[in-house]
This record gives sequence, C-alpha cells and structure tokens, in this order.
Amino acid sequence: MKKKLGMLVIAALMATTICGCSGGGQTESKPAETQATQKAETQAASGAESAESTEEEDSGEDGIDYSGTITMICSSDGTAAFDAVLAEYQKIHPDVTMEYIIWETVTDFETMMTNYIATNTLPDMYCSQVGVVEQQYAAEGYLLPLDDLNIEENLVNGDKSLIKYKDVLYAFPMTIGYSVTFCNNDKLKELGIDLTYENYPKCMDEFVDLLQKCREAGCEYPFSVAGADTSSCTAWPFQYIYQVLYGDNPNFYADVLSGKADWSDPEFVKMFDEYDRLREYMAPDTTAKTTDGQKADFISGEAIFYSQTAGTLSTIRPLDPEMDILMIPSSFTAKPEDQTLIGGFDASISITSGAKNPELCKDFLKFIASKEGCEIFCNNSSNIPTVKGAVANTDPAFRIILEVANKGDLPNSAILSRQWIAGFKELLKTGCQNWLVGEEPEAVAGKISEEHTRLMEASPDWVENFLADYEYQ
Amino acid sequence: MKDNQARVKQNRRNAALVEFMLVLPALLLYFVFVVYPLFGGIFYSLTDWDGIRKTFNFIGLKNYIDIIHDSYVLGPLKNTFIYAFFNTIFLNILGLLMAIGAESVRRGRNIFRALLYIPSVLSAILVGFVFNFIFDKSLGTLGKQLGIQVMANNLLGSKSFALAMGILVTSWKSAGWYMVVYIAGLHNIDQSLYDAASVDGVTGWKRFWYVTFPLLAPSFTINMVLAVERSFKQYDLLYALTGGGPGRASELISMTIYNESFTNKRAGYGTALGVILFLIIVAITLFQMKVLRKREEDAR
Repeated sequence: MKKKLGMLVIAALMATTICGCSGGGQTESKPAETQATQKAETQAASGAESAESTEEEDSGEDGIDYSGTITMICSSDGTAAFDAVLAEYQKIHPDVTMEYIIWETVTDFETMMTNYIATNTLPDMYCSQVGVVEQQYAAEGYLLPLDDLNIEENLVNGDKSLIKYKDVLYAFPMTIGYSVTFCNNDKLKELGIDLTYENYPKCMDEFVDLLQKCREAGCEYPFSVAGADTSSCTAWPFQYIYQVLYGDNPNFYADVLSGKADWSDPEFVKMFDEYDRLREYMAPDTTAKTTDGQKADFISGEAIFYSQTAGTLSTIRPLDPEMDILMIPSSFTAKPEDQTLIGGFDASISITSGAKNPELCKDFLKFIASKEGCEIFCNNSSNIPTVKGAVANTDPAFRIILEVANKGDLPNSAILSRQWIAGFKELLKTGCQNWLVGEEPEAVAGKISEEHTRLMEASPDWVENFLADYEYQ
Repeated sequence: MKDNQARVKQNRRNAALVEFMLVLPALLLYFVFVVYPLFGGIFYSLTDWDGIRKTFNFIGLKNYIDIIHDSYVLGPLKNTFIYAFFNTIFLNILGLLMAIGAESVRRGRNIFRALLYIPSVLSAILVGFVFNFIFDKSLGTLGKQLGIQVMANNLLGSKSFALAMGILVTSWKSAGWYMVVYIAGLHNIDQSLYDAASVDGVTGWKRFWYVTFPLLAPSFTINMVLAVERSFKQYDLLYALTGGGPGRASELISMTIYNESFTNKRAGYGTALGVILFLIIVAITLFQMKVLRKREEDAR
C-alpha cells in the first residue's frame, strides 16, 4: 500500500509538472521572443549601468519610473528598429524590456490576433500594416484609445481614416509606405540604360518600352513576379487597381459592394490585357516562383523590375548592401498625366486592451511617437518617418520616390486607405495564378466575381457598415 | 475468515482507487485538450462567429447546409480524396518495399534502415522548401536539358502536376515511418513458415504473396488506417510546397479550413468544415477497420 501511495504521490507530482510545463509553454514555445528578450535585456543591463547613479532625476517626464516587459507583435524586420528605440528608452527607464512575437505576412498577423482574441491572451502592443483591422478591433474594444497621449498632433498630413474609429485615435503610424516598381539599377547601367528622375516611365507604354529596351540589351525576362507568393502575385494587380481602376472610378469598390459594378465588368477584365503585355517579359517559370527565387533573380540581374511595397526593401538590402536599387512610381496608366504615386501611412502601433501595464505601454508609445523615437525607428528600418520634423537616413533606393513626393509631382493614391472584404487578397491571388497558368481573363474575372459575392454573402454586416461609412468621391 | 475477506475487498478497492488516481491526470489532460475542444468546435460550428467579434448568433445547421452547395469547398475536398487515396497506396507500397529491402541487406542493415527513416523525422516545412528548390533548380535544369517544357518551367507551377508532386514528396518523406511498422511485422512472422514454404518449393514472389503478405495483415491495418487519417489532415508540407496553388489546384481541405477561419474571417464556417473532416475520417477509419480486421482474421 505504501508503495502504491508513493507511486500516487510521484504521479501527482508528475502531473503537476506536466501541467506546469504546459502553463509556462507560451513563452517557451516562441524562440523569437526569447531571443529578442535576451537581446533587449543585454541592452537593459548596459543601460542600467550608465544610468544607475542618476536613476531618480532621469525618470520620465512625468516622474514615474516604469519597469516591466512589453510584449509586442511585429514583423521580423521590425525588431531591430524596436530594439534601437528601446535602448534609448532604457536610458530613462532601465528596467523596461521587450518580448517580440513575429509575423511574416499580414495574414499571419491577423491569424495570431484571432487566436489571442479567442483565448483572451492579447499581447500588450502590436505593430502592423495600417488596415481595416484597427477599426474592427477598436469596435470590439480590443484596443485602447490613444487620444489622451496627444500624439496625433505629431503626425504629418495624411489619410487618418483607418487609424481612427468614431474619431478616436487607436493606432499611430510609424512610417510612410509606398507601392512602387523596384529596379536593379546596377543591371540597368550594365545594359547602358540610365534611369533618372527625368526619364523614368510615366505610363504603361513607356514602361513596356523600357522592358523591350532591356530585352534588346540582353536581359530576356526583365519583369519578375513570384507567382507562388500572395503578396508578390497581387502587387501588380493592386497597383493597377489603385492607379487605373480607381483613377477612372474612385468609387469602384463601393459600387461593387452596392451591386452597381462587378469584378467581371470590362474595366477590370482589361487589367489582364495590360498584365498580358508584361507577361511577355516574365520568365516562363513565373507561376511557381517563390519570393526567394524572385529575390535571387533580382540580385543576380536575371530580372530587373518587380512591383512591391517599398517596405520590403528591408528584406532585399541585407542580401546585397552595396547594390544600387531604385524605386520608381508605378506607371501603369494609359496616359502619363493620369499617373499617381501610391502611398500612405504604414506600420502602425496599437496598444491592446490586454496590456498588462497600459501606462508603461502608453509611455513607450509616446516616446516612439516623438520626433526622436520616430527617427531612431526609421533609421533602423530604412523607412520614411511620419512625425513632423523627423529626419531619417533613408535608403538611397528611395531617391526618385522622395523627389517625386517632395515636389508633389503626382497626386496620391492612398494605397493603405483602401478597405477590402476579408479574404479578398487571397481571392485575387487565386485569380492571378489561374490567369498566369493560361485561363481566359473573362473566366478569371468571372470566378473572382463569384467568390467575392460569396464573401459578401458571408459578411453582410461588413458590407453594410462599409457602405454606411463610405464617403463617395 | 470474514476479516480476511473484508481486508481483501478493502485492498481491492484501494488498489482500484489508486489505479484510478494514476489514470486521472492523463484523463484530465485528455478532457481538457481533446474532449473540450472537440465539443467547443461542434458548438462554434453552429454559430456565425467571425473569430473576432465578442458576440455571435446561433444559426443551427446553416453552415453545414451551405457547405453541401459550396463549390469553394467541394474542389479542395475532391483534391483531399485524391491526395489521400494515392498517398495511402504509395506510402504502403514504398514502406513495404523499403522494409523488405532493408531486411534483405546482410551488412550495414541498421545504417540502411536509418538512412531510409531519416526523411520521416525531418520537418515538413523544411522538406517543402527544399523540394521547392529541387523542383525549381535541379529538376528545372534537367527539364531544360531534356526539352520537357512543363518540367523546365517547374512542375509545381502546373495545375496538372502540382498535387501529384505533393503526393510524391509526401511519400518520400513519410514512407520511412511505415517501413518501421512493416519491419516489426516482418519480425513477427515465424521463420518455420518460411522453412516449410521452402520445403514445398515456394520461393520468391510466391513466398511473399502466400506467406509474408497475409501475415503482415496487422501491420497493414495499422499503416492503412494511419496513412488515410494523416493524409486527410495534411497541411504543412503541401502548404510549404505549393501553398495550395497554382490557383487552387493543390488546395487540401485543411487549407480551406484555415482560409475560411482566419483569412475569410468565418470561424464558425471553418469549424463546421473541421467537424465534417472529422466525421469523414471517422467514417473511413471505421470502414477500414471493419474490412481490414476481417482480412486479419482470414489470414490467421
């Protein structure tokens, strides 16, 4: 009996241990967090050493000495920027550290958030692409209002519609994002083509001419699309939609949702005709190409151009720090005078209602949203700052884009202010892949229309709210 | 005497209690991590929850009725059946061949077994990415040299081949695991039966067909059931390999469940799909068990 009781005690201990392990598994199962924390703590230790003697007088503006760990969901390339900001923040509050949970795609981010919401384990803060989710999360009470921080006044002019809900600020954008055409300028020079602010292509015909020139100079497939990747596969179509489709009818999507227009309409089908002009300059293995393959082609000079958001520069630059990369405005309109620059607020930070120490999170956000904080953030992520007066050492790849933006040459197509029904990007990717493997544009557009209708029927509330809040232009 | 009987009864009761207490932690964990989520899933499948809202409506069987007419779901379901059917066949044939091959090696048998088993322990995501590279570069170059256009342009980019390549890669990765079960089965066959077969002049293919294969029935049952169940639940390898594309040519139902639940923000609908997948697996498994158990009995 004693033996059995002994076994029972051991079993109980084991069960407790197992339960204990599973309870603590959340942090252990995220190597990225642990790694980042170690890094942040190292900085905290060194920061504490120098600030030790002046801890009292150096505590924050409000005199409160914050301490604790902020859990932040951000993209993999965002951690370096946050670490740099944190290092500066630790000079004031040495006992503050950060843990990171990494997302690779916006879909990853939304999936993570759905899981955290379902399990009521929201992290303290997140940094993600400005999008429709902010409003959705704010409406459900998952975000803290930021109006009391008075940081909105720090922002440069821009479309704030998606960072606010019912006129209350819920997200602070850290960078300005552009959707552009990337060019391998080294290869262009090698082919004897000099692309400048004066002569970059201003419309579809000019862009196709440039592709032809590259082909004649020896680059057979100068335009690249990673057909297997959602983001790459939809980058060009989205640029076309923002520039051309919305150029002709700014209310196109509202019209689709209200039944006045349809994805099978000729103006959308025409997109595939224009895309077809580029397909001639894409490699035959485009459909299965991954982003890694696309990057390899771009760096090696096998391909010279691709469409993507400027923020992805941070994934290319480390692969070849010396490479002369150039970003130019998308040029897919029929006439040069219709060209636009596609850009808007990007990478916004929000504090969730699950924040364990909301005051610390707010103080950190106030710091990062300051001129100093934003400069550090953008200097460590090669981005364009959003805070008035902030100047960052922007990557030279931005030179033409910045010149165009600063001179105000082109009207803006607010890329990130567009709202889409959940699942639209996947749907567009599927359509584009079907088209890439040879389906007829009409059939592809018809399928997109059919599946979009299915999504609308599944989310009638979203459609109703969109149309209720929409301001027709 | 009565005291003795009472003590024996008491001891038995105590023993039963201790045994129950020993099982209790596992039972609790099973309840928390299996039973509760299962019933939770069934509950959410009857709602219109989007995965974000704090509230949802109870909509009865609407999700299930919608699924029956939903071509968005039926396509991937068809892909899943094709994938599961061929995958089960290839995994068992390969596993059996590898087991027989590995057992017939006289020197370095363990090294040979280990080499065949290694792919099974590799991460599915890793295998997916590595094969992505192989299809793109190695096979692509070979295709160019042989003048086979579809191979030169990457087989994963072809609607006709993407799913088939997924089946091949899964078979390559997982066959080692099935080999181990067959090896265990081969070891359980009484050597005297082979001796008797030899005396009767039965060798080679006949020996395999009339002696080895019938006596491998228990291993065959395990492998068939597990291969089907795993194939229906496959996600990571195919996701890393093709992402379900091009278009939706290689999309399996597990990917549709994920897309519906998280991308399309239809958690209730996605969960209903999950419940249907569960029922499909249960039905097929029960059918397999019935047929294969009968075969096992016949072989005895």
